[in-house]
Amino acid sequence: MNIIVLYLLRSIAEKRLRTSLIVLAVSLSTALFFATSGLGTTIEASYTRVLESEFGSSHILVRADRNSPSAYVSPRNAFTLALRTEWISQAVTGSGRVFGRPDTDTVQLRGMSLTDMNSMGPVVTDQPIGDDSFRGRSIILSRHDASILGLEAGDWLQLELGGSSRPVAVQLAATAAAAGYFRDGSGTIPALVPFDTAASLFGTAGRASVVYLRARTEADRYRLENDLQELYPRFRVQQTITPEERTEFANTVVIPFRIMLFLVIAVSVFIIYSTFQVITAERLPTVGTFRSIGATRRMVTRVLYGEALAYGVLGALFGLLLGVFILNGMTAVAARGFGRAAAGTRAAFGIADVASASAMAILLPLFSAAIPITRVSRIPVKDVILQLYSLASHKRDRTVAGAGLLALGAILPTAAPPESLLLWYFLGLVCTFFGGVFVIPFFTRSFVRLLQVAYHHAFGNIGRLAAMNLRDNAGIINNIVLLCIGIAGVFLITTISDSVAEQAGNLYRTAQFDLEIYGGNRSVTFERRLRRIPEVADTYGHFVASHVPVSGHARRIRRIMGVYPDRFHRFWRFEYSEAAETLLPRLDSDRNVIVSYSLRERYGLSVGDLVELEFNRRTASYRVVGFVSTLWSNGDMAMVSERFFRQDHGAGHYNALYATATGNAEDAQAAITDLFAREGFWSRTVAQIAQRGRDSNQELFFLLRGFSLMAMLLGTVGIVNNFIISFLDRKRSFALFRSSGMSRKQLRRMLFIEAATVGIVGASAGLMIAALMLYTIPLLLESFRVFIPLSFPPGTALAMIAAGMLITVFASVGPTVRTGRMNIIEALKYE
Amino acid sequence: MSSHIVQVHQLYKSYRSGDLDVSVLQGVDLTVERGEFVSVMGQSGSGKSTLLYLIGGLDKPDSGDIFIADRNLASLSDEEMSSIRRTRLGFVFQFFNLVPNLTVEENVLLPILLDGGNPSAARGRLTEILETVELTHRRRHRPSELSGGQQQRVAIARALINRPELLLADEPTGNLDSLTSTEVMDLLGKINRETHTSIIMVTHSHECADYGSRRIVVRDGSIVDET
Repeated sequence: MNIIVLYLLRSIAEKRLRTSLIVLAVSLSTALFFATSGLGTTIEASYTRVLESEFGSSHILVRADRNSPSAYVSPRNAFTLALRTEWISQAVTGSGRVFGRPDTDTVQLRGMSLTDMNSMGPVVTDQPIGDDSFRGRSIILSRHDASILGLEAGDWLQLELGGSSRPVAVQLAATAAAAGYFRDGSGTIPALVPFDTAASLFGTAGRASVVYLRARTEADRYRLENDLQELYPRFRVQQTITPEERTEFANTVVIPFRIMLFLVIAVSVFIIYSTFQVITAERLPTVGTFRSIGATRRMVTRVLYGEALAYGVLGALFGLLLGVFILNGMTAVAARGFGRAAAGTRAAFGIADVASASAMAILLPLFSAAIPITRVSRIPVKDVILQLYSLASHKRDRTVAGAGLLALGAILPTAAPPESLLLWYFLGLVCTFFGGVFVIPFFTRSFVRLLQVAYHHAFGNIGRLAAMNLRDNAGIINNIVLLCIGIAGVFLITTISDSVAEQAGNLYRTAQFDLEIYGGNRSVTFERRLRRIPEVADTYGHFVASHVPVSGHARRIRRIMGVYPDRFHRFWRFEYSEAAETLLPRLDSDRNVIVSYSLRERYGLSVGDLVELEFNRRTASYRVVGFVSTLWSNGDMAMVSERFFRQDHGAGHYNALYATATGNAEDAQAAITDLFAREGFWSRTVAQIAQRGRDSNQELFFLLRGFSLMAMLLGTVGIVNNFIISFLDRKRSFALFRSSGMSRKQLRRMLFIEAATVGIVGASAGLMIAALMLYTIPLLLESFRVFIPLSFPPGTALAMIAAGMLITVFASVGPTVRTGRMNIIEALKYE
Repeated sequence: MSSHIVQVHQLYKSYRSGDLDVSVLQGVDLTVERGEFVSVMGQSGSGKSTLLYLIGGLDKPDSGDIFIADRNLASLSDEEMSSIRRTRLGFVFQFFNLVPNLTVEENVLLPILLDGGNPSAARGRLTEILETVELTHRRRHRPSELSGGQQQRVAIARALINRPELLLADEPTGNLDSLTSTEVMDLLGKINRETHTSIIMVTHSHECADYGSRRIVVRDGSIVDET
């Protein structure tokens, strides 16, 4: 046994290129697997940090809305449930400006005791401070903002609060590290004052703007919410952010990476499989020798698996190191997408991420090498020793199986039962993928038949020969498959990212307003004041309920708008199943709802169907009156009249407020800033909003493109390797061509035409598979609440074909040059 | 036009094997007349195959001259040498050397394709040559679907498709059983007689050598006997 192991180790060491290729394939797959798995954890952590700046670690909050008897709420009732809570905190909130500094951002003021703040999430200050010293006109600012304002602890500053022109002097008691509440990325200055001070400044009579609670157990948070709603019937009681929502958010980022990871692993499996075919073929004569001196079949098989294991261990080591590096890079890029709030986010991964990635690294080569090893192990001992075996593949035509798989890939997603959509969609994708790969030889043959004629006209007989050489050539088919998978990956990601960018643009193309107004209490009163600005022509506001449960369905509706049916269409030009002028007014006539086409598919709705919406105040039946095609809320939305929305859900301030300008949008924006900035309002023009949408996606797709390019890189390395192997295999044929009168120039020409054709055929096959997968991917993404309508962009497709040609021509340069210099006689005599 | 198809003067060739220079041919002189069938015999490593490949322009000698139909191979570029191989020479090898993914007729048409000829226009010639080698019924098959003898007949057809003046055969029966060997040798003899194609054939077999009109024996890189 030892001698066999020694022989294998020497072989591994001697075949450095081949060893490097397998280890590279395993390492890259492992690194990306690890990074994707870690990215989910990291994204959740980043998102949590952003949310913690607003809600801390609270589960539930209670605050006033428009129907509440007062703008402030007393925490007294909440304390009756104190035994079921970890803590209860109260805050008075407001906004203002730094007096004499019109250039600075709005101050977002929170009045809260330090004890309560620390319950929500620890505040780390640069100066020692506690509730005993944090009293009166004290204020805490973030280190970053204090430095921008040129303040140090002990300095005084003046604030204009709540629209009052009379400034209030406060003393900077401490500066805080950028964490939790002070980790603000919204473009405002977070500031903390003692609760009593804020209560006095805003005249709340000792009551709070918001009461925060954290349930003692995660399981109790929903029951606690209901009990609180009973205690505060006229106030808004809501969950801050649920773990499901956090995971859902992380999924929207991670799922596209998982799809890419599948393609990278597919490339790796293919590379390792084809390389092991060569390895086992090469080893067989020696295996025969070992068998003849007493080695058992099991020993030899075990050693071959041992070799695969060695590649797995090496790949795991390199892959984990590379994975940490990639994850850090991905985290840095992804954190940029969250803004300053997530600055300093570090890559987060646990032992489970390391263990799963290591297991994947080890299983990948074992699984990929299983077929070649099993094939070799089945050869009878006599045949091995006397070399009477043939390793020529059985040339089984898998076209029919491939066509069957393709059909299954199309059927599975449409026939998916609602309880296991994800599994069926995924199986559909896998069937499409393997179906596509199986029909590649048939596709190549058909393509070559066409090319033969075209090439004859374009390149003469050499072109014709090049096309003929591609038929049933195992090495070339391998290259086509590798390129096909790589191109499919790059094309899918490019298409998805372009579609998302287009979606961001398209959404605001249907906007008929000039500005959206954010921050503060966007009340009807504020809207009236806004309308009085000469630069503002008209305004419109509506209400939004988030994550509304639908009776009898597991999945909630992400957003339901409570709209003013007579005015909505003047601000948003959505496309409806019938004319907006006749459909929208019907929302007011009864409890009627317009749902998006995505929801129509999800819940299987038709016009006239009743759908039970579980709003905050009551569950009510709404009749479907029509459908809307919009990318708003990624298409996961419905519209009801604000009249019924108020009754069933309750409505306080507007969730969205829009304005049209009399002149240009920037002038109106400047006027709004002048008048309302100190009250905490700000606005963005439609152009600015669209740009932000594009920017926020840019980081994600930058990463995804990186992923797909790695798949392509791995594919290219595999293609170069295959070209070398294939040229070695065909050396004798090339020598024969030369002996029959083919000049070196003709040979080079033929090989370059061949390589370019592999590029064209591989890229076309990749595009074909990608086009089929584009049918299922939106469904798969939708099951993770990512709604991206995808189309097949012909320009990108042509670019992919050109890229495929470049890759294969580049990969063939080395082998072609070497083939031109080969010794014809040696090649002809070799047997 | 000279009556000689091949003239070889003072041909020397050596190979490097490790640190040693192994002398394979040592001043060989040979003339082959048009229409002649020359059998070259000798032990393994005697230099007979090297002589054949040098005549075919597949390798270059260290010194000496080779003339094919009065053209000195030393003065030819790769393009010109390739052109001579396409039009004036035909090769038949011991291991057939067919292109596995081309059909019988595509393999046979190869020299025409390489010469820029129109395969459709060569259909008549293709049919004729396939009839000569009795493979008309196997024209659309792949080499892997043929027996050894049939594969060698395809190789002969390929070598003859362009009506070469000289056929170079390197142990054409070395990989065949005796019955098939006889068939192949009968075919070569017939071609030589009927088309006056000159043939130089390297062989170990005395039976095969008997098909030639002249027999030369190579030993240690020199022609030592000629009958």
